[in-house]
Amino acid sequence: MKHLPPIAVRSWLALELLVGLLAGCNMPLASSEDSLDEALLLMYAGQMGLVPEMFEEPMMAGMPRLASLAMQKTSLNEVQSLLTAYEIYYADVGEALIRSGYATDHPVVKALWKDMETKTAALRAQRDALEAARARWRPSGIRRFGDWLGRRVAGVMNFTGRTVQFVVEEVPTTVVRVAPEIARQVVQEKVQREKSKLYERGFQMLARKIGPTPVAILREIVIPLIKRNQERQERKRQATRVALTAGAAAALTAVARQKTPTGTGEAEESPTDEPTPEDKLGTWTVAGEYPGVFDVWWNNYWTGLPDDMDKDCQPTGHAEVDAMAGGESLPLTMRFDFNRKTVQLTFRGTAAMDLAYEKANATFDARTVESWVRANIDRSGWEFGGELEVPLTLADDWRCWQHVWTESGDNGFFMWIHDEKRATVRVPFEGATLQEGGRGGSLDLRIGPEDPEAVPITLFFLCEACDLPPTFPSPEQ
Amino acid sequence: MSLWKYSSKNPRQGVRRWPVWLVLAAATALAVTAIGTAGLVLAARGALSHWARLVSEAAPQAPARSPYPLGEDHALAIRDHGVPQAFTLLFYEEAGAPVRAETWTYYSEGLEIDFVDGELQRERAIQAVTGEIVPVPYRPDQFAALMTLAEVLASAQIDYYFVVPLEEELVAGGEIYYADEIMFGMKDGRVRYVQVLALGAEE
Repeated sequence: MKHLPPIAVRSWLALELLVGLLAGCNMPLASSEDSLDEALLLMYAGQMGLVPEMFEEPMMAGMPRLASLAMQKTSLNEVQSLLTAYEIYYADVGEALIRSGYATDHPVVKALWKDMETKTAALRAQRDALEAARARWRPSGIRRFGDWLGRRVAGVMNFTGRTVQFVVEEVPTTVVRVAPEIARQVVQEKVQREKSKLYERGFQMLARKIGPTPVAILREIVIPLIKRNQERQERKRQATRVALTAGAAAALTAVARQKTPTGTGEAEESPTDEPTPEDKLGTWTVAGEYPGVFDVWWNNYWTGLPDDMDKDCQPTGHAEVDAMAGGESLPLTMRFDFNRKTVQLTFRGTAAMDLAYEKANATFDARTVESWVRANIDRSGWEFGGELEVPLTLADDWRCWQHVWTESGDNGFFMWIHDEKRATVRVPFEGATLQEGGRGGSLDLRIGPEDPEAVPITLFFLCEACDLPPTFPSPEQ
Repeated sequence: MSLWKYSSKNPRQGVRRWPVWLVLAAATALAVTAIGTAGLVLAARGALSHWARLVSEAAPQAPARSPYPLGEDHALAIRDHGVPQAFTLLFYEEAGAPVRAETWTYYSEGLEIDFVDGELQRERAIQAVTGEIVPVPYRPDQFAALMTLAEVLASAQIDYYFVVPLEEELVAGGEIYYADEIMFGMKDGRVRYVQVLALGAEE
């Protein structure tokens, strides 16, 4: 039997290869998203199933059919929702970093943007692939498909034929049948809320990626900043809600305004001489050992450190003691005097750090020189702050390499150099109780500037959600 | 004289010799047919995979015990506020460890509670709703991470649902299920998201 001519064989093989490639190219790409992204995309997909017109924004704008078909369809798909959430998250974290004094070329900031580029590029590619796939399978029938889908979903979810309303916190008294607009509000509310969760979770994931030192900085500086910002926004949102509510809410607003302190730093004085709730409380003391983050930062500590041909000390400039205060049993005492609207905070003790290349020991004795206390805007807890004077001693041992040059090379050894310095610094403190209007609750406290590295010498202490005594009163008590 | 004629008259050849052009033409036709068939199969698969469908079947018997035992913080929330009027569950992994994120909503009280792995994360005030809330026929403990469809249907006693397969480009192997006041998402046959919606009766 004679074989086929070589050209025929080659042609056949080429065609086989082409067939194989085509099939291969149509295989789905392996998903590179992590599990949280997939769970969120499933959620968005489920919610958008209730609001199919969100898939097709240009058509909803009432454009003539030909014009709408000619328009480039915008990407309003589920991946775009996730992408938007990530963009908000990265922008907020970046803004917080810049606000807390980080230069735009700081490694932490650069790591953030690099992470953002990687993440958003992947999501954009996925968004575009999804758009292309939808255009391929349903080039012009998206709206019809959406309508059909919406009807089936509403039917199986038991919405049709029943006089019910979606329960939406923003429109609680509106009695309507299920309609796209209401469903849209439900979705937007939920998506917004999940964005917030994603934001918090994503921040933790980022912190893990960029190493332990930035994690500490982020935890100590940026997260409190964000938390305060979120609380401010929440208060603002609540105030807006109250202002928008008619009738009884207006009266409530008036009462709230009467009791709310102004933003000048001091509680608003009652127009009468009658005692306010806080006047009746007398003096309270909060004392104990609070778990938290503690740091003594001393910039330019190692000036004049030996660094010559014989000693290699790798001078770093600053010295610091970084310790978890819970493990160090640092005594913290706060005496709230609601009559004078002051708080006396004392904080003294010793903290040590023992690393392979540095051993540090800090002694401090902080006392209050200025303070204020006021009820928060919704009178569910207290806000306080002031300034401390802190005599501070920092003893530091730094490991150097003593070179001993011989014919066989460097036969040196490690040696420790020691220094001890004293200074008295003033540091701000700021705190808030979280009591929801009841007794007890928890306390957030920060001692030190928002950015410890921005000052030459400081003490930094952060205590989040630390327990208050069960009898500790709120402004409403 | 044609090549065909010449070939057929060759006495030493038991089978006929096919002309080269004919072989090439046949091969090309076969290849085009194969490509076309493959394309049709792929297209049909793609189209079919996006077909949503209604399914009605008897729910399997409910399990004897709850698939997800509630924790201490859950118990406190139920003690103080009752079974949530709506809730959302997300199941995912973080650094290889499974995570269960929950949001319980109490519209009547104007309260929303977040849990992660059963631990209370925060309580949030929302605007309270006046009027009757239709009780949802589900509880959060009826759902656990990575349950199969059969397990979800049995646990939640769902016998009528609508399923929408998702595009490979969105979540490969993903499907969204809608049933009475509930929607849930599955990936590769395992549940990853559950959302129960509250309904309010007309005033």
